[in-house]
Amino acid sequence: MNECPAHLNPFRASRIDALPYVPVDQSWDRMLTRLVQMNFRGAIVGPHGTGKTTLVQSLIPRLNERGFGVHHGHITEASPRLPKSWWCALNQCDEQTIIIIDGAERIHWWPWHRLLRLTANACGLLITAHEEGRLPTWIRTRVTTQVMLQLLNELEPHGMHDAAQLLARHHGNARSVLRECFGLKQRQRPA
Amino acid sequence: MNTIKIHLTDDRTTYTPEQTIRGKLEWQLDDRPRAIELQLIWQTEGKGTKDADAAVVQRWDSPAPSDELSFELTVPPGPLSYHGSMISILWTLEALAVKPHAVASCGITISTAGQAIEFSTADRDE
Repeated sequence: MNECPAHLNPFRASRIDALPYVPVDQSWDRMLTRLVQMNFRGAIVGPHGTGKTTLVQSLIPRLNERGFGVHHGHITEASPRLPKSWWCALNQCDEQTIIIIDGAERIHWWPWHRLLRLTANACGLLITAHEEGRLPTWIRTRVTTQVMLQLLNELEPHGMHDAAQLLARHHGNARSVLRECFGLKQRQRPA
Repeated sequence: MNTIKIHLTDDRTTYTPEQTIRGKLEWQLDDRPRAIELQLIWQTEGKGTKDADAAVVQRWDSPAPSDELSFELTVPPGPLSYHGSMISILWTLEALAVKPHAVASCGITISTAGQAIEFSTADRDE
């Protein structure tokens, strides 16, 4: 094989998905304090590839550690509706459960209001969205050059990356940067 | 300390479809586990979203806290192990103790040619 096999590529998807959220300009403690102040009702807002889903994945174990259950749903272009089983399980949620919905802006008006009604007794409702509006903004995600460099170094410690240039070329989309790095690495023989 | 180990007969890790994987599981746990599970799993690794499935699952309920047992499982017809530059398909044999928790795994190659199918210029489809 003259190219790097996918399972040895340091930028393979499973490694990217395992990266933790890197807070920008604030600590986890401060973020969680603000979430409590918002009664666990808020939105994670940011453009594509800036860490909204990663933030949710890093948040869930922190909520579990504090005794909260999480009922998590994903809405994507491929599956634009929450499945019936998710709605059924929603009825079982108690006051210690926080509902998290990734991609909430895809929910139409009617199911959104149904969701608000059904989650009125839940401990909280967190959503991710590309734009503000549906719930007060808890965190606005963005990727700085420093964060990008940290992510690149974590995946490839001795790589020679120009994080600033990569990030500018991909308009701040870290996931897109990491996909480009996969492609660059793909064309190299493994060490 | 909770431990579980997989011993493959003759340390063999390459198989063709329909062949039998033989080996032994050995565990030492603090308490009687709810179950011991053995899974033969395939997964994709690469640029896209990871996909995975357990092709074969064997389960033994409430075994002794420390014991060993022999196992046999038939290798499924596919997918075959594959190492491409965009995607790889990897097989793993995973042993799992359920409550108390312990896990062990070993990589398996499933191939008709004795090694994983490797990338060639033929799969350059970008």
